[in-house]
Amino acid sequence: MTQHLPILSIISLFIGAFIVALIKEKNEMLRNTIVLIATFLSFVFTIMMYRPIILEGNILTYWMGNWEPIKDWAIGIGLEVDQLSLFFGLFISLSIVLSALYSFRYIERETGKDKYYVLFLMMSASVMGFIFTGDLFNMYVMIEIMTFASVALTAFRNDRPEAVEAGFKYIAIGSIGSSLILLATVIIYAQFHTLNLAQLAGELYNNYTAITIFALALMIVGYAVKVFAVPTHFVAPDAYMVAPSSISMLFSGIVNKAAVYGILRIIYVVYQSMNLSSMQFLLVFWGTVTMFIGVTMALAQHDFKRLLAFHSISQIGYVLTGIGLTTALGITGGLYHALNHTLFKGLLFLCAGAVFYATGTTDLDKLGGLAKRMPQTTLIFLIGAFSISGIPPFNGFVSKWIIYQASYEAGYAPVTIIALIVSVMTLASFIKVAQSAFFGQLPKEFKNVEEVPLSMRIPMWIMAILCIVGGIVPSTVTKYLITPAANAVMNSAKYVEVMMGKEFASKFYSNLGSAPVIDYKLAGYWQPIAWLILFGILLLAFTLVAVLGGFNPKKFSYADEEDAKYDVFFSGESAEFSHVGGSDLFWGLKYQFRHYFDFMHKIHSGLVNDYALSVVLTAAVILLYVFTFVR
Amino acid sequence: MKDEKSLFINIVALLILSFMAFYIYKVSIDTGEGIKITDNITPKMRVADRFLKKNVLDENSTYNFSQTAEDTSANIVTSIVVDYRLFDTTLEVIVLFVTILGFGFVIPKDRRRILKPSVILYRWSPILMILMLMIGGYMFINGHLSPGGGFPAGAIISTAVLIGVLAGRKTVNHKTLKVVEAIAGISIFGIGIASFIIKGVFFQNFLTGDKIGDLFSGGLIPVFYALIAFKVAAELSNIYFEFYEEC
Repeated sequence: MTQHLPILSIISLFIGAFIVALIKEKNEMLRNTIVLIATFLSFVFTIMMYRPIILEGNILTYWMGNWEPIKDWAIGIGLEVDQLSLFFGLFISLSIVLSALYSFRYIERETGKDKYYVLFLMMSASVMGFIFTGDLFNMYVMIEIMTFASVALTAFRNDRPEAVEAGFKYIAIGSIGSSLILLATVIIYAQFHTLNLAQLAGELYNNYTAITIFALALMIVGYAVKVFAVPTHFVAPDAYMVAPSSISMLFSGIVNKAAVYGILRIIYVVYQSMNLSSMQFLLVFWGTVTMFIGVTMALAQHDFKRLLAFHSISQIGYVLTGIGLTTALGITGGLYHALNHTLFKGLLFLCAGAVFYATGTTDLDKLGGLAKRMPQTTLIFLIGAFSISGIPPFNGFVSKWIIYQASYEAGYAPVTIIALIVSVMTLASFIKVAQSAFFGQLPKEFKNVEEVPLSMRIPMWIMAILCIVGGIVPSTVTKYLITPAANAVMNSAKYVEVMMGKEFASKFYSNLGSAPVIDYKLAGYWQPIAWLILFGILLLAFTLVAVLGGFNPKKFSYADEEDAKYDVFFSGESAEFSHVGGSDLFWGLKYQFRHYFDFMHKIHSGLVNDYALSVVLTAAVILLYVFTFVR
Repeated sequence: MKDEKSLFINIVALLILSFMAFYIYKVSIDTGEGIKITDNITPKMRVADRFLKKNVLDENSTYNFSQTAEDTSANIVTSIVVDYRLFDTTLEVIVLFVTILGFGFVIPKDRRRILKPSVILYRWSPILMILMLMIGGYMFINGHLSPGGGFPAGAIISTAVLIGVLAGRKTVNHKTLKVVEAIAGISIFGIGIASFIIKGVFFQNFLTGDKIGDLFSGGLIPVFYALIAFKVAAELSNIYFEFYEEC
């Protein structure tokens, strides 16, 4: 039974999608039940793989249709689940379940729900398949399903023109990325006459020719488009903003993570370019640029979800930097941050969805004072914001700390400094969101908003609790999840050996059976529990002061009079109860860096031609770089 | 248009068509080459033979890489597409499904009124449809013996549906197509699960022991091709219904 688990967790989602397609649109109860059962089954099957793979250290292989390799030559499709795949699979299948649970009430007022759930399940299934497969072309097909389903779900609210526009942009850019991956796949197949990843890894071991390097460059650019690394990121904010929040969560939580997995699998396991300093520099540089530009753009946004989208880009920069360092510590940090990013960014997108559900807008200039009306959402949002900004007792701090330490130890001290600055700017922009959306003056039209229903709060609470757990017991999480995955990244010989047999592997590798030792010490004197206690004391003191009326002696009131006094605050004067608009909070910073921001606004022109050009230029630059430096 | 008249014209058209077909057949027989509709001579060379230098009728001849790899289908391309890499093929069909479903969102529906088609199209569309359906059916039934297969067959069948729409005739409606699509999709995975129950491995060809080159050979390959053809036909026919709304 154990060996069938990977295919079962993929297939249950696909069958669920087809059954949902049969159900009539009106029959809501049955459809929700089937969606929940399919996603939950997939999650359970993934969980069941935990014991054999991570605890016992096995690698599951599965040949579809029993087409096992003959004479060391794979002709069928093989699935291979190692610790890295399972690590990604665990949190991806969890976020699929949570997103499905959240969707039921969130999109109840929309039309086209039957299509929504079909596409939702198709996208989830393709991501699971992408993570668990061991075949290059199968990866491409899964990416194709993923891209088209994402495009369709982006344009789900197609009564809004910007949704259709974002869908069109996404399909243009996404297709370019897919084409690059397909071209690389074709080149590799023409060169080696096989598509099996393990066999390719063996053939490519210390065997870099001009053709394989060409394919490598195309793969890097293709997956960078999927991961929305910086010069190719332009479409991401548009898509994340207009998609329903349950889908935005999946975009940043699973589609992006699948591309990160693709980079790890292709560059490190198949191409084994771990020890090439040129490749390290490329990823670290790219990641640093991505995190910096993402966060500065996020500072300038005044839409809740658009801001989150730019933060998503920025946090992916951390992940790229971490895995680019290629030290044990760096890969651990990158993987930990990938996990944390799924949790806290999913949480924040769900908060944005809750705000949209309650008020009908995500524009920060129009929102305000929702903390009185939606206390639980506010609390959850604060947990997410603290996590993403890296405040100690939450999980973001741990992974960011590991990345700082790893980059400093690897000799990239400037990267550490930039990462710290980016973290501060992240906090700044979330202060802006908290101030504009949840605190301050409650606008008159929102005085009747209510807390979101329970089925939407449950997924948010689960993620919030996981955020706290990841910050309090980092050593347990590292030991039982991250270290095995990092080990699998660094040990591609075992990947080949399990899939293709010992004879095949021993033709290429001389160091079979010797796993790399992951040994590092976390620097610093921080104790998570102590930080938690300190945080609790501070929170208690803050609450006490607030309850005793230390901050705001006058009673809370919403503006119920048509008075210019209660309008959005635009100028530099300070007045009682006046609400500073979201875009004006950091006006000083924005003024000082106006040339930079003007330049960035000009680049984000909204024209799909420019965006496509930037992707092509990126491809050209990466090709030049890879051909010049990678040996 | 009255029914008796249209029936009469249809019969006349069919007669003309059958006469033309007979004439072509006669001429080809007379020239000596002939179109062999029924072939009693057992062919010695098949497609696989040409590509892989393997005599498919000889039990002892082997495929380049293995002894057992190609033991089902006479057409090696079909073996690759529907047997070795069946999972990929299924996923490709799903790509088509997702694309057509999703583009209904990206390109909102237009309202469209069908103009009254010309009499010629209206009369001839059933005949053309019959021919197209026959060719499409032939292609997916013989997919494991000769070039062709589920994808082109589905495309041809969907063209027949489209001609019906253009000619203003009622053929199939939106809901039927959706049901066909979903049932074909479920069946593909259902057979995959059936092979799990019978053989213990997903997507394994569990019907074996037939003679290569026969119509009913290749195990599950013709079954899968039929399902793929129906699914592709339903998906491509759906393009019209996804983009236009009749009023």
